[in-house]
Amino acid sequence: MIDKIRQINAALIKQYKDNQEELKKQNLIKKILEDKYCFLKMDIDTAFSLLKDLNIPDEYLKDIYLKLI
Amino acid sequence: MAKEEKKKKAILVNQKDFALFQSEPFLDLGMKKVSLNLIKELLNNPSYYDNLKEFLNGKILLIKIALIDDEKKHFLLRKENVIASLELALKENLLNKEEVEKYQEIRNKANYASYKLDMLDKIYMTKIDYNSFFVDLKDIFNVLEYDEYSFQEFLLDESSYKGIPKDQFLYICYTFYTQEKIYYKWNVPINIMNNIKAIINSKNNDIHYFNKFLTTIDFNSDAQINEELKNYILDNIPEEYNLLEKIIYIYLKLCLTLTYDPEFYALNEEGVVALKHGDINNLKKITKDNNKVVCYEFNAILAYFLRYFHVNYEMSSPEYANHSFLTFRYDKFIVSADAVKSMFRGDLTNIKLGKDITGLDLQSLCLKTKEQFWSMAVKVYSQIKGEYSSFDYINEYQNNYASLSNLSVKDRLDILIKKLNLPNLSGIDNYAYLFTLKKLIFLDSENIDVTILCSKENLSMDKEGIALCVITINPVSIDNMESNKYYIYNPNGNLIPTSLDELKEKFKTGLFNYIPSSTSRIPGIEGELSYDR
Repeated sequence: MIDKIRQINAALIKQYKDNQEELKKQNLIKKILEDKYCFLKMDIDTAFSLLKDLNIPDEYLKDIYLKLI
Repeated sequence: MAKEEKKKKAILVNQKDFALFQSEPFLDLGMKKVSLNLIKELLNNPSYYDNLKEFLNGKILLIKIALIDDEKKHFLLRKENVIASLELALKENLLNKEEVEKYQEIRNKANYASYKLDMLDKIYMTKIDYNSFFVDLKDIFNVLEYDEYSFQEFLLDESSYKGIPKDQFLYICYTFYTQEKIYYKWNVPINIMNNIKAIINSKNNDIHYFNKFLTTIDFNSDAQINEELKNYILDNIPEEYNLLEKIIYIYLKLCLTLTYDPEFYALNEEGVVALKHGDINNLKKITKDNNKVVCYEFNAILAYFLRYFHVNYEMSSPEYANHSFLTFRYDKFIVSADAVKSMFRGDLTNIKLGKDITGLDLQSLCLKTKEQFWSMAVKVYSQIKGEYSSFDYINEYQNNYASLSNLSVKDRLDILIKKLNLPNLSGIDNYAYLFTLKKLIFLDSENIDVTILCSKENLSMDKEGIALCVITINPVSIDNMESNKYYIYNPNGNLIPTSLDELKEKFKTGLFNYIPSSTSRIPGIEGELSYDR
């Protein structure tokens, strides 16, 4: 599952290449995702916030989070 | 103690003099004020003068002024303050003629300059890690007397001094100063004392590992481990690793392979299970599959590998069956290793969850040494787990972008319960995982309590008790006991609903017991609020 999340992030980095603000955020997320245990190191609210920043729809957040921890 | 004997230890005074010696007029030394009355009395009173002479000769280390009826009421004077006060009184013409003569009589005996003159042509011999060093004392004095700025430059300069590597030379200066007790004997210039402090506290130099761990201290140094476990741990160590990296690799791999015995924990380290673990021969039975250990067994196994690689170490406890950790030395790195610093947050559980290493402590102030050590540890951890990164990026994201979700307590409980029904760990590791999830999913402990207790229910023949977990949850608050929901979470990861009455019954019949070493309590049983782990 983390690999899929990384792929989503990589796609967003390409998409936002002209939007400095979003690009900065996505690059930070990329560094976080380098650690495959990162979701065990952040609280659930931060995790949901990050997944939303990756444009994961709200109805999928719980299931994806369960797979990530 | 007789009063005459007491006089050797302290200058005893009556209440009036005790007050007088702490009152004006003062000699202002900047950081300290000393009463002129006291200084004059030290010179004029024959028995105080004897005390002063012994003090300046280095025979006593401090001047202690105490109340004759209650020695607990006292104050102390250090040498530099006494000397500075006498010098200031002399300079400001506050001493009469007799007092000046008395001071001149003993002044030379406290003179650092004359001591140094006697020593300048001598050689100082010392050993550092079995190597002998012969150093001209004039070189040591020369460096120790540098002013603050020059000494800082000296510390930062990495080149050798008089053919001796810088850190070794600094250690030699420090050793000379402390062995000779120069500070106590002579009125040493303040810059020398400051330079010695700078050596001790330097973040640029490393002297604290010298002459340490020159041999192994372990009363069980002939302990053997299982051959299969040994081969498994040593398998796949990258050949290019240096010895320290190999030790870190072995430590981490042991954390991944072994697990803490939940029965030992549940029974509060007592019973037959304690006898089993306390027998050092049990080490040979521990394998990848029979992997339940306790802290001293983990240490004994790690110690085996240290001996295998001829690395010196010391156990923190001379007795085998006591909580202990070990400290080893490789080159300039002195490292304490304690995989069970905490039952549920130590490396023995946390490494399996990919968390930061907390059980390896490097004993060094030097920034470069720290950086080198942790760089190696991160490299090895990355290799062994595949990924490793710090919390810094997460913190940055939290500070700049994260927002509170609208997850209800019900949603959070739902996630926790679903996750607990998909175990991939067992025993203590599973409970450590539970505590991790609890902390991540709930902002505070108001809605959930996790208590580990000892269960004697449905035991197999070879067990006297097991560690069992009771989870109490309430969407409002667990203090609202009537609507609390209770679950038993067993070591195999099965979550079974129960009730407060059922739990009370099990406690009443002795099937459940609290573990004495834990302060955690199930809400509603014994009426105590739980302690948040």
